[in-house]
Amino acid sequence: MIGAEAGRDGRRNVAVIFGGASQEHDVSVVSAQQLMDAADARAINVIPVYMDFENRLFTGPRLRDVSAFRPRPGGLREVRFNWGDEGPELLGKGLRLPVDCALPVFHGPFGEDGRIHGMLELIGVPVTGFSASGSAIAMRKDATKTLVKSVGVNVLDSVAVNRHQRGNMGAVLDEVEAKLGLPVVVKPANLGSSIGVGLAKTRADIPALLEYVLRQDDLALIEPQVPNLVEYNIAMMWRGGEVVFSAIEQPKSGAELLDFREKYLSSGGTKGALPSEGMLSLTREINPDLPADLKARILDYSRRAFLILGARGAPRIDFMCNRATGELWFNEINPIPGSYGFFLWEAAEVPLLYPELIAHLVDEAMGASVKRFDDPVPQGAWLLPR
Amino acid sequence: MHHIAIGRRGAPGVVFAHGWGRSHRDFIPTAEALAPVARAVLPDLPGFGATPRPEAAWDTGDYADAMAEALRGGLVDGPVVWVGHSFGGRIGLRLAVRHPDLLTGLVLVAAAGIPRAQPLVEQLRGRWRSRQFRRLKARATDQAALEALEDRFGSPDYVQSRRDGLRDIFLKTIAEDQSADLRRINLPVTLIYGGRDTETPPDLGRRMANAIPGAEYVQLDPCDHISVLDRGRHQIALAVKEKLVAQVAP
Repeated sequence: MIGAEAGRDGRRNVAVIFGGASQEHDVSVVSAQQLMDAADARAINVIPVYMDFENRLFTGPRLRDVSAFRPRPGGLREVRFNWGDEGPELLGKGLRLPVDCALPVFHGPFGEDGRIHGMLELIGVPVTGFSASGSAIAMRKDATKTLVKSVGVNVLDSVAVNRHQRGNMGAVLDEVEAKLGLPVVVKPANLGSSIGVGLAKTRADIPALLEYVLRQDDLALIEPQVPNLVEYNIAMMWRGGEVVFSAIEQPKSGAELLDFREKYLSSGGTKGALPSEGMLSLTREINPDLPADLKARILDYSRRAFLILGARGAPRIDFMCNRATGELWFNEINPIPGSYGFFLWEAAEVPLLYPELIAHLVDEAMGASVKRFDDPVPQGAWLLPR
Repeated sequence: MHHIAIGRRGAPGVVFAHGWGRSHRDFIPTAEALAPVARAVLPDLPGFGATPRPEAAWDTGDYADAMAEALRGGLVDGPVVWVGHSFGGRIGLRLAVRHPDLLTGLVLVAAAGIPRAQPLVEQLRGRWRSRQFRRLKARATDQAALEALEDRFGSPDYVQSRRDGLRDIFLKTIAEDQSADLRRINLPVTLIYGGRDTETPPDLGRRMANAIPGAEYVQLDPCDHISVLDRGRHQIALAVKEKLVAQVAP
């Protein structure tokens, strides 16, 4: 047993989980490295936990060395989360590590869609960010839009198309034309990044784009194209009894639409290489000069959306805006934003450094997660003897 | 002295002092993270970056006195938190003793200042290499042969100091033992060391922390002497911010 060496030195043992069978596996690995380096070393003992392409979990010190990933380092030990005699733990062959909290750093399916959270909630491991159900709802853009619209947040009309509807394409196209007009944007409803986003200028463009999106996702979302598009992103958290906001970010874009290449590989980025934080900073403007009314709407919509969607963690909401008219639409919520949005918090009105952001996530998770051992069935519902 | 400033004017001051052979650029990302809460000044220390070397062969006390003069001359308003990497940490230790009124705190990042505790094997190997160096040097016939020997036997900083025309300062400062100063420091001090640092290893950091009254020691296991500046930048920023907050709300 080497559990003793992780030990109890007064620090919290935080299992940072990353990787996973997602298109955004590599981005997750890089995001997690940044986060593990930033966690306050005096208060947090980071236990890196890597999820491979088969969604198996591994741990080992080499997970802190990004140059050892091919796409994962060797010499790791397979582990699973467990509730042991002393509470939550990571268990492997000859290995038992006590865990105080799990901190998933995933983007996209499995890690960000609630499945990891569900597993940890069942075992009773405190976990940061949205709950399992909150994460699952956040992953479905059509469901998120319906929910936030119910609390007065402006959203674009849309048509959702699943794989079964491909057999009746004529009806789908009629609905799109009647409800949305043209041009439209076709995108996956579940995937975390903007891989597969396409622009249909004519009715005839739509089927091929739908086909492409539905190969990757089981649900596609069609929305009108926003003219004069400018995007605004903002993160938020529940702190001190209120919603507090990060700085607003305006991603820069010269193209008609942001696709994955532009998001992650712009500025001549080489294939396979990930851009540095410094390079990413060239792609966005922090705290852009906005009309007071627009800024107030961004904050108002963000507050409403955050409260209905989960009010936990530090998610980022992305808005779309028509630069000419000032119209603003909620686009999506990312429960685990890239780099956990730390650069947005550093520039917030009440600035937070990355270690302080991580401390908040861990404090919140540990304060709100309680493993219960009592009989949950109320006496009046007993059918079986006790 | 060439320097850049980052952050809000009028906010509490922080000076970021780089290590040997490096420049103000090392600390730009850390200073940017603190920009909303601090006024950071990042100098190129004399002899490095865009600042010319001093005429005389300075020791760390001279560097500290020159920085004190610059601070009193208005480089930053009011006392500052001094963040020093390696050689910049040595200067910070001197400032804390010679000009304590100018500092409100110290953050020492992979700072040098006391002799390394070398295992016997390493000591013997070092002595043997230095004897071999002296023997071969005596036989060297020209400057090129001498420099080739230096490249073979010298540490990277030693070799670089000749190229930079700073050999005299290097030899003077590298040998300084600042142990006696440590217990005289009366400031909030955080020491941050990389677990994989072979130039200023964690053991050296722990010994310095033990000698400075009330000092806090932080170890970042995956970092080495240089990567502690990048991978450790959030921890450095946090240590600075805590000292600034303590200063504003005593």
